[in-house]
Amino acid sequence: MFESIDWGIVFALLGAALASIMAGVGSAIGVGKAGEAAAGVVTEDPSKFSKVLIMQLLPGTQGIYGLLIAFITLSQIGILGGSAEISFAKGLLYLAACLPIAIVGLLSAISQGKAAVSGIMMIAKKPDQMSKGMIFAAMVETYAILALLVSILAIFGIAGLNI
Amino acid sequence: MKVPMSRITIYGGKKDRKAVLEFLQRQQCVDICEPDAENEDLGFSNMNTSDFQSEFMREKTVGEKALAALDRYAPEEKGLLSSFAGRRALSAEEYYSYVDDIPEMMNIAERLCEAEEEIGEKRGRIVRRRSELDELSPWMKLDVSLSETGTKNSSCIIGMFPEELTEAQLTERYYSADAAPPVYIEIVNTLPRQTCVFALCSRTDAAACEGRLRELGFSRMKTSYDGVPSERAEQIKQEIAALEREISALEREIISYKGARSSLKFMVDYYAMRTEKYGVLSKLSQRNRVFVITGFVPSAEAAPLTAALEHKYNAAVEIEDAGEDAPVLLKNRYLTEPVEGIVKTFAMPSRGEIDPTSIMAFFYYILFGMMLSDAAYGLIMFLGCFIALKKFKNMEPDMKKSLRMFMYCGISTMFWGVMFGSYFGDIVPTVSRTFFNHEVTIPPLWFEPVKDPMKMLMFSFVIGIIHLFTGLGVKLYQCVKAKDWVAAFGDCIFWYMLIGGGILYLFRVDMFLSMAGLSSKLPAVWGTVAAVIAGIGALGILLFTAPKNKMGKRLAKGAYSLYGVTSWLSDILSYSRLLALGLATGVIATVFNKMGSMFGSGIVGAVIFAVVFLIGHTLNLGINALGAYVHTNRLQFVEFFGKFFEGGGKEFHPFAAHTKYYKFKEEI
Repeated sequence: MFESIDWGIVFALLGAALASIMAGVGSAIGVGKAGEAAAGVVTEDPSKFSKVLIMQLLPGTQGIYGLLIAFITLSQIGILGGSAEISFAKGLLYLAACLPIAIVGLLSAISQGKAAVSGIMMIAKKPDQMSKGMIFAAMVETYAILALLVSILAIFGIAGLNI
Repeated sequence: MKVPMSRITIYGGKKDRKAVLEFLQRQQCVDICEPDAENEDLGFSNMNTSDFQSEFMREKTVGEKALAALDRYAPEEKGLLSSFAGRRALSAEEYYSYVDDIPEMMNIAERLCEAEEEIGEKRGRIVRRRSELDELSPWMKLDVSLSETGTKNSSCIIGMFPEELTEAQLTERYYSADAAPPVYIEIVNTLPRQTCVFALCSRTDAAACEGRLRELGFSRMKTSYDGVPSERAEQIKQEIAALEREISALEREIISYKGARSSLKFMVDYYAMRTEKYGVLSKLSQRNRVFVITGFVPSAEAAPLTAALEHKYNAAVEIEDAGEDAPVLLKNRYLTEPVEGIVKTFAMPSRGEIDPTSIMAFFYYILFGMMLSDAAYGLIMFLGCFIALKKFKNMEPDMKKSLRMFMYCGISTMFWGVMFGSYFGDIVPTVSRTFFNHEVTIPPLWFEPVKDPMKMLMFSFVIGIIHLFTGLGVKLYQCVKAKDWVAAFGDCIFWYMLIGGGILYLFRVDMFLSMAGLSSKLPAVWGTVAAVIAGIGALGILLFTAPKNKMGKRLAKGAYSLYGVTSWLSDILSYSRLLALGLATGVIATVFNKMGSMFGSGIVGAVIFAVVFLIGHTLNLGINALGAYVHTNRLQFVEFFGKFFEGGGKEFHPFAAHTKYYKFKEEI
């Protein structure tokens, strides 16, 4: 019965799903941790709300990168309209292309969440040093961006392949 | 640009001390430093003002607490945008009338703090009364006092069992032992896991009876009060009601002082100012009838300040060269001034370093714009900042600078949005296709990054290389200015040759050409030239990084420095975030547009589209503007500043009135 299934599209969709799931889960964990710390700081000093909110948002970008890759994949493979005919090899390629942002997104968002928590602690004591705390957290994000880049380039590259 | 500084020494008579200090505090242009140690040998001494300072601090704290109490019960009505409004300037007249109010305000502030404390204390008492009430609640049906012990011949025992029991069960268990004396047991109340019991027995049997009850798990009710529980409960309820009435009276009293808010604010500012003034007073060298102030002043303001001090206040002023430990004040103009704040959050330039603000500003706007790169978002940012700047003329300078920075970033974002053809992502084709059945597109002025990401990646790297080379250029300038020729060659020129030659050589490499989508290959002679340049660079770095060391160490240090080429590679790759963040904005905007347009072209479709559009794009703009800000800062701090800027200068911090609520400009 499996012979009638077009496995290409299945794997391609699996890739898109993984990109948004794993990066999203990572961001959710990171933002959640940062949120706990932020709430602690705001109980002491409500006027720091806007500062800690910005710090809390920082680990959220990986989820967006995951969404971005998922969306580009969905539109490339024709799920969002158009023909959805993908060869088996291409489907696997899409899956592979989605993996960098899925895995790096998951782990870097969690690590960035930890850096953001420390940054929030720093804001509690020295609010004027906020931009440095932001930079520390942004350092982690570099690797998510590099992974995103590889995913993007790979997905656009696959579209042009003739297999 | 760093403002040139001069060292100023002011000598004056003690009778003019107050006037001189107040004059300096108003002028806000002198950074007063600790006195010279040699003054002490000349018989000068410092005044110890810490007692005064702590007294002023205390008064300021009372005022702040009073304001906090007022804010809790009578919150100030503030507009949503009130944080832009800035401090109000006070006229001399207002100032003096407020000063006259201060003794009265001090009383009010103390009364407010007292009332606040009383409320807290009364709330605590209510809580304690409530828990007492909870304790009593199972005993409501008992119609004797809880501490009742019995009559002449009878003894009563009041207490509870830690389980749910009926009268029959209890009686049966009680008499199951042989020696149990006769007893009358009445159940007052049963709760899950608790049975409240009233037991009566003959006075002679009291001890034996209680002993038997204890064997069954009984414990006596311990109370600190006398009386029938229901009566006591009524009494407690009345006490709580009375306390609540007292609290609301106190709250009303606090609210009745809300007219004093502005005077209280003034009081806080007044004591902040006095604390600052007395802090400076302790830095003055004084002897008999004279005092000496030393500090730093921007050279341009030295002359007018000297004139004013000499004519108005009979002081003698000495202006000298600032020397090496002068504090740093940045001054820039027009487009470059707004990013001063970004430099300050990194570090102030130290001696021998130039102020990087003006060079950085140019790149700051470009990088920010490329990361956000949407014409509509840029327009929103520009208009938002522009309107806020126009509307709130009295805005604080730092806030003004930030808003101006984002305004210029908005313009740059618009520019790149038009270049890359992004207006709310793809709103124009989406709307025209969904609602008008006729697709209209606005073609990009240059190219669409989504369609040609490789081109965008290459462009990002080009921007990155220009940015990094500019940073290296600043380093070269600083080396030349300091006449440090070894560093100029070893750290700058040879690097230019190595990296520049290496990049040129790439244009001979087929793999790179196909990746970059270039068809024309440079002639072979170019490759040779590039390789030779890069080779000379590498050799230079190897030999001239540490030329003063012995040969072995010199080469080792050179080789280590040469290893730094990997950091150049990662620095350049870091600019790929320009592509990633730029794409993120556009693609997420597209996602929202698509979501909105899924519901067709009817009225319902249009309404849903509008809602999705508003929420989605607000979210996208917020998150991506934050991302652009953070990552532009990162590129400036890590990649750009890493090439030449260390910082470590001390910020110029003039003696002024650092107040929270009011500004004092006039002569007062």
